[in-house]
Amino acid sequence: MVPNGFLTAAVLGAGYIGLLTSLFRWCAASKQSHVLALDCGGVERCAPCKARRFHMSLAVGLAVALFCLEASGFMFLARLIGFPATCPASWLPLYGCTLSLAHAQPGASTAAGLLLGCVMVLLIARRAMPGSAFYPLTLLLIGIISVGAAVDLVAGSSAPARPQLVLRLATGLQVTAAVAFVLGLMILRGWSLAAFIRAVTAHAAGAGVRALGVLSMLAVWPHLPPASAIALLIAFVLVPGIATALTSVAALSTSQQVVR
Amino acid sequence: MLVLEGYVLLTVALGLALAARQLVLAWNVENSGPVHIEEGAGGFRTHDDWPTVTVLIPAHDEERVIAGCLEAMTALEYPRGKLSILVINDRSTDCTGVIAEGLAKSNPCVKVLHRAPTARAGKAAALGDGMALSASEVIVLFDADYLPPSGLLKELVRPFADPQVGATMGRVVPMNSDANLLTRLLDLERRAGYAVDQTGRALLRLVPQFGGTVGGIRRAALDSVGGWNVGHLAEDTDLTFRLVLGGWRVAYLNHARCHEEVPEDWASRFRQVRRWAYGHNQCLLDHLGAVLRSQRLDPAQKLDAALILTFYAFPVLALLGSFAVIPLLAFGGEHGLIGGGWSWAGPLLGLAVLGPHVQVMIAARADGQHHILRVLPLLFVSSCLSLLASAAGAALLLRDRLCGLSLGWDKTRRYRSA
Repeated sequence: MVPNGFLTAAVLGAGYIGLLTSLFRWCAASKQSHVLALDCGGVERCAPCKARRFHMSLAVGLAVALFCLEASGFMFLARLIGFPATCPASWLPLYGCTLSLAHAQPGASTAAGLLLGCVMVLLIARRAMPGSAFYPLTLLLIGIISVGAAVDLVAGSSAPARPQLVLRLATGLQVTAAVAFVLGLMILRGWSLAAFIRAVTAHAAGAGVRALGVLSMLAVWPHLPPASAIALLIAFVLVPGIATALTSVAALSTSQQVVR
Repeated sequence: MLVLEGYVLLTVALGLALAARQLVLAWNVENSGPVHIEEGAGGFRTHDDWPTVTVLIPAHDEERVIAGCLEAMTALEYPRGKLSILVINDRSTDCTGVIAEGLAKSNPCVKVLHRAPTARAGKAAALGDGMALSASEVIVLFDADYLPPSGLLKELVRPFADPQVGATMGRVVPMNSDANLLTRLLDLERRAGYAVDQTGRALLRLVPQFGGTVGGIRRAALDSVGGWNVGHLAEDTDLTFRLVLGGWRVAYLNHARCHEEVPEDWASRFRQVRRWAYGHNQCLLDHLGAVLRSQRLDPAQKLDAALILTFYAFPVLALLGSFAVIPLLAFGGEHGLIGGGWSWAGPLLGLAVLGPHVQVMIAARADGQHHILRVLPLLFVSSCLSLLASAAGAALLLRDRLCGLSLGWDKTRRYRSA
């Protein structure tokens, strides 16, 4: 059991947002031109790739290994912080894991507070970032969280949402990231050692960011009414999690060693 | 709860179908030979073979860009005496008409049609008026901010050597991709849409879309399907489906490229997608039944056409689905497909999300510009905007259908000068 859920959530959440922001900044900071010349041939195919079948097997094996490593690493980290997760012996690391978190009986006031927070963030965003690239995203996330809080206010339920949902969502993101890794390698032909190291490093960085997001959700989970918790999980972890799943592809794109 | 669960499952199924379609097209492009689809090769060998062409340029308040556009148009290579250029000064309140007239004086093949302020608004209405002044066999369309290279016109006309071809479509390439994050993300979307999605459809002989610009239309084909539909905001999509249902083919030419401007601010992009969503959903309501009943389309073409038609309806379903899934997961318990099945739904949805990203990766590699993928993880940012704008477009269409109203044409802002 986590002794001080809010403090843990605040620390992990701050770390998550900080790292996510850094990741976004890095992705947006590309200096090379994107403009495509009209006269370029653009007829670029991989000439007979003799070792393609071997590469595909290698990439799939790598993806499974990366997924298992990430899932195991995540569970290790979760137990280290103090989340009592129990998992059956399975080849799929997070599948079937259970987690029993002490429930703090959050009332309607938590949902009302969340709704009020959404309104305040909306007002601040409208003033501070109407022209920003992230303004529509902010609106969407606020909308999702508001719906969750409103559902809690209407339903008046304080029964907790199942924490297993957090683990299952984490599995979803991990699978997506592993598949993106394979696809990146296959499509961009990142078979050089330098490109491969970049991709693995970026994948690990993405996994770290994801883990922080999921752990911060677990920390705050017992203090949230069910629908609010689900909405926060979607808005805070799932939507930005897509970006963390694609870090390996972004890293491969910067490699000069990519073989065409 | 049961209704909510059914709705979410339907949305997930549609999302997976759309993603599967994207992946099939990507797979096909990835495993095809060089992506240079030869259309009409061998036709139009001599000067006399080439058809007469009118280039139509609808222009509403385009004083910033019309001069540069006309300069590029007058440099187009085409057999002498067979090309005319018609600028449709569509109720402009700025100097568009004056600039166009000035350029027309120095070039006899350029004509200007001035539409009165009281004329019906909208691109389709303007094109209809322009068509009335042209007797050419082929009409080629460009927006007023486009800068075609000199050889483009012949590329767009060449496929008409095949009598089955009713329309041709070239590839639109953003020229201002480096302006900011939004333009870079839109560049990724454009590349996936043209270099993979349109190319894949052309390779599989499915239903490539006529995009209303950088494209040509056979006059006889247009007349045979009843001309422009002035009631549609997505007149290009509407025409695509009427042509296909009428037995004509749309030829997509990935190598026939033209530069355009993409929106540099989020408000303009929002209005653009909202307009597209409105028009596209009009087409969904008008053509889905005819597509499914068509005797001319084979099952693969029907499926492709139906999925294209639902493209702008899906974001609305997905947005509502993301709201509906909240109570399902919160109160649904361990049972039920959504509540208990999150373990499969999560990974499946994750894979569905990868569909458009895979298309972008393949497009970037085909263009030889891997470096653009650095911004790929942020693609979800522009997708969120499209989600909201599509929902707004669908809501407006619903309102207008219920109240008997119609949405006015909303011009996309231009950023460059000349």
